Amino acid sequence: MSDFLTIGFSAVLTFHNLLLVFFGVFLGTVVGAIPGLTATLAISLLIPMTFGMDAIPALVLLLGIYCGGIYGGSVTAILINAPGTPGAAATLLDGHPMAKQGRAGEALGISTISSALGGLLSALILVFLAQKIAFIALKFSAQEYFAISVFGLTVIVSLSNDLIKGMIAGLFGFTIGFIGLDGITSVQRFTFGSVRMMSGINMIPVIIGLFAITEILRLVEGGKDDGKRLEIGKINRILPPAKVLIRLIPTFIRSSIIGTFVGILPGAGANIASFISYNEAKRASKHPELFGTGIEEGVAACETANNAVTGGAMIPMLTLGIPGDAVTAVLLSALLVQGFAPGPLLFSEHIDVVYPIYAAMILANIFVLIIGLVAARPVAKIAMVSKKFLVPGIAIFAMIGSFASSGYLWDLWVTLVFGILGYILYKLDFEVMPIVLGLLLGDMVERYFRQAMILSQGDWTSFFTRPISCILLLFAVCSVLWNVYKDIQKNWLLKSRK
Amino acid sequence: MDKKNVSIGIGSVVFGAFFFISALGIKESKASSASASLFPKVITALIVLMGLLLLLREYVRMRNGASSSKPIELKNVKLVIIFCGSMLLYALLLNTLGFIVCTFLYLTSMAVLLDKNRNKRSIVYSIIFGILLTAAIYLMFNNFFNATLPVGMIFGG
Repeated sequence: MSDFLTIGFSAVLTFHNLLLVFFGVFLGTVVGAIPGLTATLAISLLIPMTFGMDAIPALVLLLGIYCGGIYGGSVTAILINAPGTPGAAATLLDGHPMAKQGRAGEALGISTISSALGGLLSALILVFLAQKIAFIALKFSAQEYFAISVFGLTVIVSLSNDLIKGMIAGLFGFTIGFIGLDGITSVQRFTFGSVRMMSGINMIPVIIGLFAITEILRLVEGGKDDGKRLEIGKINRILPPAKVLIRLIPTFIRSSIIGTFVGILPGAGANIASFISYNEAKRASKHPELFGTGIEEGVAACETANNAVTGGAMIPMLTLGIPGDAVTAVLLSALLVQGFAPGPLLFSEHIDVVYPIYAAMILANIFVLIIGLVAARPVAKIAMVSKKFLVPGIAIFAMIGSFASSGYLWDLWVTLVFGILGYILYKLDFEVMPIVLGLLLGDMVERYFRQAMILSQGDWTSFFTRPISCILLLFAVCSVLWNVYKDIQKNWLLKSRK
Repeated sequence: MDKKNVSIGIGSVVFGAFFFISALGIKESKASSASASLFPKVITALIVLMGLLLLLREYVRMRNGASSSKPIELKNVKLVIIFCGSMLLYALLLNTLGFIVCTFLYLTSMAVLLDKNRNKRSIVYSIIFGILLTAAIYLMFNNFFNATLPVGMIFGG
């Protein structure tokens, strides 16, 4: 722990880095507050700009955006009844009624304190758990890694709304990852004679296309800017009374634990955590009937849980290299760009990067508290920026960002092609998240499979004779079979009974 | 029948089949026992299989008289197409016109296009927006991120 404090904080506590965390949290909060824009979009847009930066400042900035982005959604949920992010959807239930009762300031205050506490507690759980998981994972060989990657991929894909379409999306991402020279044998795969294709399709332009350009086109689809702005009500006293905060302590603790553990699970994100936490707070309350009428516990439960997801989601990403959702998938690619492959080796070889990540998470949540308490109103005002300026502005950042990531126009074209494709797929009710996870995890699945085959001299049974690998593969098979069963019930049989 | 799922099913079969045939042509390296073509073949074959399963599911649902789901909702198609076209045009002209000219033209024209209550004043605001954001991005990328932006034929000679 003392190492963490000295190495982590000494790396992050410089004026430059503090400024970057502050800027990251502020930018994340503003983007998160804009309905329709998410932390994933903000991080995807910022990644190319971190290319020229050292690893620590780059990560500090992106983690600031992550924590701010999750928090920001609550500002507009409370003030204008429109959640900035899906994770803040449950905050509406009590946050907006509080605002309508003239207690907007109090609701914002509770939401800010809850978010910061949830984020801080989950960051502490991250510090406590990650090292231990990484220590166990150090004993893993290629077989276990293959099994973990397959498990992660199948769980995430099978959590899609439609199993078959989720599988197709994941497999499509997998296929995109094959393009270029094979990493082990240098054989050309799917290059179709093009020299440009030999270096493969870069992850960053694909991510910018699928997350940023697709989102922009969805905003454009909503029509032109009619100049109408929703009124932000009066914001009274922000700091809630001490006795209210003391009453909320059990909610803070319960929701932090729920949020962190939901975050660890692959595929479950801030929105699921906040709804589960809301229900649990309602169940534990002596006055469940007051939930939905503007009760402090309702806001606290949702906001603590959705920010607690941040620390939880970082655990599998950092220790095993498995991203559980879209934001951590983008953060994983940012780490890869900086030359650090997440996984247990990161903890043994680059602890000088891991500790600052912990410190940055803690600082980011402290800045969430400061920005939320001091600047909630300006954030809400900035979030009301005209669509006619917002949309071209984001589009240009996305295009120039992907161009600047390599200096080749090719990457800009990749971004546009994947962006337009993402929009068409969205219109066909097709989720794009499994594509990115297929692209990221697919590479790992293949690499570890082939490494395991080389190490075991072509013996297939080695995946099943090692207990951890065997159990994880069994879990993966069970998860697929269970979801096939649910899909048959939902999509094949149910309709026939009508 | 859900047209969306049928489109995805057909698209997956075509995409998977095309890449599966390409995967058959992947040369194997004699130096390594780890096959470079195994995964591409398996994964693309699975795409074809999933596409066929999706089509089969739609067929079963249609035969069982399941109500067809929502049609593809198309809103403001013209605006979306113009916006996509403008981004493609931007990529096409970036190297020729250079970052400054191209970005200013793009930002200003898109701000004007997306404005429902267009008037002289709002057009002036859009021009000012174009100038300010172009300058801000240019300074940011050139000074802070050390990225080289295209100068174009006009300024680059």
